[in-house]
Amino acid sequence: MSWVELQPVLCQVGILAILALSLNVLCGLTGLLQLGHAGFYAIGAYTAGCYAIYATVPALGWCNLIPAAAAGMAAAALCSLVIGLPCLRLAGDYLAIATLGFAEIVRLILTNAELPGGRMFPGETIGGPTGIAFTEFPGQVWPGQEHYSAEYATLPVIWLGVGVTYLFLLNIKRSAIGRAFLCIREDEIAARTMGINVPRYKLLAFLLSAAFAGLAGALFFHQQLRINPGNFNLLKSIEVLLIVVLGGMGSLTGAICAAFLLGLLPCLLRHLDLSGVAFLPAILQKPLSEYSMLLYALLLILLTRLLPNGVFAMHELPTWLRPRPKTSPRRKAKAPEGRKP
Amino acid sequence: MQDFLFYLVSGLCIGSIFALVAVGYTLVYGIIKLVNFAHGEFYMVGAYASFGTYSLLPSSTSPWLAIPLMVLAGGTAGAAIAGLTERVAYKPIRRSGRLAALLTAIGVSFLLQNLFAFFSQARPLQYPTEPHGSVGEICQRTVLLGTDGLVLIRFAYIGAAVLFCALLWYLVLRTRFGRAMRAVSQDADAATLMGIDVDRVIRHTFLIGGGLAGVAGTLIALQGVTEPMMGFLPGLKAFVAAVLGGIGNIAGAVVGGLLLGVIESLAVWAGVPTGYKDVAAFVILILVLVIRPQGLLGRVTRVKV
Amino acid sequence: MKKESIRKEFDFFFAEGLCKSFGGVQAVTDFSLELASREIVGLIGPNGAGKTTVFNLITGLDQPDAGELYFRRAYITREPAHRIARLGIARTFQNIRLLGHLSTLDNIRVAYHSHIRYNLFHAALRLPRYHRVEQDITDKSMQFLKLFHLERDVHTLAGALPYGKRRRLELARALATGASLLLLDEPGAGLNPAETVELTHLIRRLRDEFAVTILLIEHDMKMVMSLCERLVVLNFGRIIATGTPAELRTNEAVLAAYLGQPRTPPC
Repeated sequence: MSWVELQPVLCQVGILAILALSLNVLCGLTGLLQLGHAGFYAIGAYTAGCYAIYATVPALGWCNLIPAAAAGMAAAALCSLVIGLPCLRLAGDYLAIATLGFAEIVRLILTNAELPGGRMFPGETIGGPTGIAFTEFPGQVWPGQEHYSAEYATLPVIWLGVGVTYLFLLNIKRSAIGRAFLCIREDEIAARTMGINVPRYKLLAFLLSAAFAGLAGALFFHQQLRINPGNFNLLKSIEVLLIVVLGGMGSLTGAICAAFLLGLLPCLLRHLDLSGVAFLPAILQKPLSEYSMLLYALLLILLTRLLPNGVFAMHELPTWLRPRPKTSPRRKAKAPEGRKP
Repeated sequence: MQDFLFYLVSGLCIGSIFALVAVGYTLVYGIIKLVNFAHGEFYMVGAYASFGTYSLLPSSTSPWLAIPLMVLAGGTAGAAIAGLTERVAYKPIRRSGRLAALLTAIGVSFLLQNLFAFFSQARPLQYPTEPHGSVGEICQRTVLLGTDGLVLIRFAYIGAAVLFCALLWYLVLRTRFGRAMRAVSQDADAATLMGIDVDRVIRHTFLIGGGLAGVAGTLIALQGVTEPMMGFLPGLKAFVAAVLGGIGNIAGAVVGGLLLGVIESLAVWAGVPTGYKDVAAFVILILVLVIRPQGLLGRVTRVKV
Repeated sequence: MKKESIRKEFDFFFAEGLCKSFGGVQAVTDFSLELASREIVGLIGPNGAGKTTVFNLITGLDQPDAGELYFRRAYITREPAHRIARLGIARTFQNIRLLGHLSTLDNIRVAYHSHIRYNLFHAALRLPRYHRVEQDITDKSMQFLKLFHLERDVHTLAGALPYGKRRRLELARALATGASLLLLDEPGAGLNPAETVELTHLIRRLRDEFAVTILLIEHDMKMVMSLCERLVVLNFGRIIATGTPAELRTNEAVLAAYLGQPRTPPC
């Protein structure tokens, strides 16, 4: 497989990784099941699209990516408050269904609403079933990249995004905030008696998760330059959830590894072809990529049965790679100081 | 005003279908607390099975014999696929938590959709409306209601909903099996200790729910199309209906289904663009979950500290 | 006016007229209690008397239908649970509620939540303040683990600990919140006699060293009698007696509640 062929695939893997990392904050760490991640992803992508159409400053060149991504993150975060606030009281399946409903609302609105084309598409409308499609993006390109179309979100940019997201979320996971998230996941009542403001932290998890999904959306738009509501259906939410489950609920490293696995899967399948295999009935003789949806579904069922904790469980490294924890404390602790009345 | 009547009646008709599917959702949820995402796919399988039956029947068969046969086939197929799903996918993970169950249900739903898409080449099937007097033609006949024509077969939806809900009501409240079902839904472990075969009750609940969904799918497909994704949206809406009425509550599912059908239909009557009709269902879903999570007829359950 | 006078009178903790019913069942009726600083008080009564409900009302997990709660001069009735916890009331649970998938150390560190003085950005960007605070609470947590003889299990998952250690860890966690009032819900349940004696000493030691007030529910009468300075007896949600252990040993209402009403022969 050539580099030119692999590059867009790796871009997709990166975007999937950001999505999985962000979903992991909500599902993995905080234990809130979310089936509408594609909704926030869509909001990020469409916000970046609208920025490109209405507000691009050509002189800024590729720097336009920064305000576009910021706008996408902000819009997604804002919407997460709209859906998160009323849904805080819901638990488990109910929350999952409510978020699914939200994502469907977003998708249906995107399918039906149309906006004027602005400067870029004078006299036309954008949105609706065809979404936003640029053939050529305004402004300058990366130096030395003329042979690509004018996409700002190139492979290094996307993976820079993955790195930033990973570090940001990992640091949070290992802080008091992450412990509060985990505490809510493990036992909400215990969390309340530990002084954790449960609704506030749930909302924060929603907010973080949505913001980074928005970032993924903005990068996706800048990588593809054409988006439509079909990119953001329930299947996308499920795919991301599958990655999170495969990597291990709560494991950020696991999410990235699983994104690689699932992102490269269709690419590998494309090179396998059953159409020449004589002993199969005619209906099965298809390129394996036709089977990818079937495989996804089977994988989801089998994974939940065989590997309920994912590859990494909630840790950052699989068991056999984890350093053996020392049983004795690392530092000499000072003598306990009793609080005097 | 006559316009209003038309929308009201057509809302009731489609609401009956939602009710049939929602009852299955609610039964399964009541017994094993599983949001059975694949329920919409049982509906789709029912539609395919009845189409298969139709193509197997000789063309000389009277439609008045063919349609009941097809409904029967659809119901049987729905029940069969539900039973199979329960046995193969749900039973092994019954004790591994809600998340695993929900994910498996989503997986089954996608698997069934894609299996049918794979083998049907994603071509939507439709009953031919030629010649006069054939199944397809009869199912397209309309009756004038106000200024619009309402497809006649839709009244069969209401009939089917009334018939099956009455049967179910009898089954649940008046038979030994119904009592076992209610016992399992309250406390499966206690029911086992009382000598109830919980596995059997769960299996039969799936069969009943799947059968009702299969019948609903057949009825819808008679005047519409049969395609792999046809179960997705009705399935979701039936879930909304079940939540609206109070999930786990059979009467609630029926009321919720009818209400949802009427609301959707009247929303169009009131001038909501058709494209946004489906948004209404989801907005209702979120509103119900937020304002009254236990649904219209449901009861509040307390978490014990 | 009234509230002011109450505040002056009861410095530490004061509950007045708490009532709670669940769907027609009156779980707690007119429960009043005052606690002085550094007291050990036992809340006893037969099963279903409403003891745990009282704990839930005090910690804010349930809202009372009527009644008032004051803690350290603050009016805490109908405050959310996390705010009450921050003010300094911590509890343990009858069925231990540890964070099973987290390590022993993390279980204690969670308790420091209300003392964390850094925000999202300190954490995400690993600013010096984050390191300082984390180091500080890790050290303090280690001290607590030592005190409770759990230092060998620092990295063990809490769910994998044996029962006795889980009880101790939960107690350590409650104390680590920095609470000045500890509510212990059957701390001795499931412990053998030797462990119960050890627990009795530990609780007394905690009171002395950390200056905490302890309200505990316990069924082990030996432990209650030796540990508590004062007892409150609940039956059917009502206080039927209060007093020192010695006083209550011969109280008829208490004996009746535990052993049943002496039946008068019908005439």
